[in-house]
Amino acid sequence: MNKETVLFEEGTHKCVMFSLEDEEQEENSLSVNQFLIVQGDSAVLIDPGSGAIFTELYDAVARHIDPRKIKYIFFSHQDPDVAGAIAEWSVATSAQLVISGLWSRFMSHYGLTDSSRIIALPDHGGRVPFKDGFIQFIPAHFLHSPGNFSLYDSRSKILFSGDIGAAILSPQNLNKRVDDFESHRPFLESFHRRYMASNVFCRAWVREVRRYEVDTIAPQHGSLFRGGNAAAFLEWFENVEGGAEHIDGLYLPNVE
Amino acid sequence: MVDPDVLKKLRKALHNYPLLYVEENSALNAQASALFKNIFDTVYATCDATEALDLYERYRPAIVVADIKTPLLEGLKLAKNITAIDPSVKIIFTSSHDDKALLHEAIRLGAFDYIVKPITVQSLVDVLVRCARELRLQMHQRLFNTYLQNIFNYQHNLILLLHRETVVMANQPCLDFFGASSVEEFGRRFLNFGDLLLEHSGFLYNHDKIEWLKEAKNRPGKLFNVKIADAEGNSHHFVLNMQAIPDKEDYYILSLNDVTELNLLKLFDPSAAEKESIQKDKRILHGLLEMAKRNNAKIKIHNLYKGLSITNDGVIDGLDDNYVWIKTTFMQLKAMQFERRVVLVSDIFPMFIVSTDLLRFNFDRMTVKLGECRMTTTSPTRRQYIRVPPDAEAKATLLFQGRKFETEIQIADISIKAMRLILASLPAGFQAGSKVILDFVLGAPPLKPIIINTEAEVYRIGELYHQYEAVFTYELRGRHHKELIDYIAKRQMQLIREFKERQNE
Repeated sequence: MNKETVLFEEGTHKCVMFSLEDEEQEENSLSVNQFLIVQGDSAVLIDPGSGAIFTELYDAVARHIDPRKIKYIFFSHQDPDVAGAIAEWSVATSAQLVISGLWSRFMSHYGLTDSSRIIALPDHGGRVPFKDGFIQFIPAHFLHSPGNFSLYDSRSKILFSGDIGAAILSPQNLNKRVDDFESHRPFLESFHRRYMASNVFCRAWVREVRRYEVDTIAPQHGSLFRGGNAAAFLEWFENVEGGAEHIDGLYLPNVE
Repeated sequence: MVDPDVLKKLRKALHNYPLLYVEENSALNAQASALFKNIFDTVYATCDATEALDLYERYRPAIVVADIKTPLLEGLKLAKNITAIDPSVKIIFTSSHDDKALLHEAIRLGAFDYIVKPITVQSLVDVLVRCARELRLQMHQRLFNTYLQNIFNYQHNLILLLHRETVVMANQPCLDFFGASSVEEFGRRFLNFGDLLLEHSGFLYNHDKIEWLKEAKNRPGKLFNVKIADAEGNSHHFVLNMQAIPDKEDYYILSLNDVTELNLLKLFDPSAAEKESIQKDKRILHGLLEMAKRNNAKIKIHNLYKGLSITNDGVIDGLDDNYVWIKTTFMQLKAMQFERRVVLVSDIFPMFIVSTDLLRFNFDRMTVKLGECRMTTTSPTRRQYIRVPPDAEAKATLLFQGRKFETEIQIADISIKAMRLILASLPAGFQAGSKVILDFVLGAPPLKPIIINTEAEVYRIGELYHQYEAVFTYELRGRHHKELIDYIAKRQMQLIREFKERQNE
């Protein structure tokens, strides 16, 4: 499988997807993606994964930019497959580490006690402008983590959606690209039904996302949705029913 | 003929609002709907009022244009039903007769305006221009009311709502300060808020390198010191808090807290002669803490545990002439307790505050009481890369001018870029810029052992009590570089575990 794909390149702006598999995740057939946005002489690293892939990812990033020039490292949420290597990255770079304010104080468990390195995102998210564009941290709370964000890059029009859009066991994960949404859909269903908190949040996220012009949706696991498939995904996701809608299957019924 | 510019402006102001149009005459309905579609993105048109009420309930349009005599459900009844749901809806009636009684009744029910038939494009545009103005004012009012309480606790603060650089709302203390009788007058006199910000060292104002609005926008939540002149031309020192409004691009709420009476302006801009005495001035230090307390300023609290940086947010919880109480996290209080020292840093402080006089810890209230504090310019935060003290068995050897230098050497701390050594003596000719070879062995079990041999340069030499301290910088590559990253990350984790175990002491 190709471990490195340039998703966008125009002038000094570049987006790269790495597909470095964490051994543990490989067993679950949940392919993992890490992303890098290079803008001129600085960069943003997105969901860099666990300690197991740190060295390989560091080398992969170094092929595009000196890792010490990374300005922000964005963690969509607190899971170990997203933020597990926060200690290594905090040592290797002088980047600001961006994560939901809900999780910043837990980062000492991953080996970081210096909160001045962390940008704790407020619930509404935020925006970082750069030359001719911006990156926007879009709220994705309770999808699945209660403090969760997606990241939108206005130049490439790519939405880095974290766990939203993750597919398990889809043959379309092999080429990292959804060619036909309808045949990919069954591989999305079980994951989203169990991991998303409720349709209320799915709708709210889609509403936020639709404020921006999105060409590509790039999830942390599985394949990319481009063009019509991205639109089809949003339409489908808007109607996803999550934990709240299937509560009877999760808790024993009350039979007094 | 309607000015195309007016139509363009009208579209810009109104296109986002959905419109409901109710007219039984289908020819007129089609004709007017076509015109409305040039202005509004979404137009719901219907010939009957019962359907109109359904459409209203489903889509909640902000503007309703309806024939006053619409059949089935009379126009007035429709207005009554709609205003019962939302009294802020703008209802514009169209009427074939200039029937005063009917129109009075419509106004009593909360109609916004009316147009007498036959409808001309000009009459429609005129009423829509008024409607756009009203909706805009309503939106400003709503933004102001919604966000006012979230941001301000202090009634005497100057409060402004800004659209880009223009003031669109201001509270009474603000108008009083600038000697303006109304917001309109204020807006006329001061076209651009940035022009009010006066130059002062370390303050926020427009100059070659900084545009105030861009700076404030890029650093949400940050407090800024600003200087503004009042109506009599007297300079005041304010703490500025700006909040962008989510959803409404280019709208900002500004709060300005007047701290002039704390006499801190000098602290930010002292002459060389004044610097030392100002730094020692207890009243000024007290004023600085008071400014932070009043503005609920976030304070970064810095500690070191065996070289491991521990930093968390805190606030000034209390203050009197002799003591200050700081509220922070349990972890930070423990770090203070171990270090018996604390450094306080804030965006609005021109320097850092240090205290070694830690008097009382209250772990129920998560506070610490500090006695004597002082100001310092030595930053605890100027660490580009994480440094850790190495494990107990770490060893370093120094080769200078091709020979091993025999002396007692201890590694104080290490990062991926530099190492600080404590040496019992220094070789002759050894100075900043000298090139050396550093050999070091790190990694007592359970850490993985690493041996690194690298060229390095002396960055700085300092003298300690009967010892020397030297910082060496190096450029590691490949395997050594990654091994050192791994070592520092794991050593850091080891220190964190040790620190956490000691927290129960």
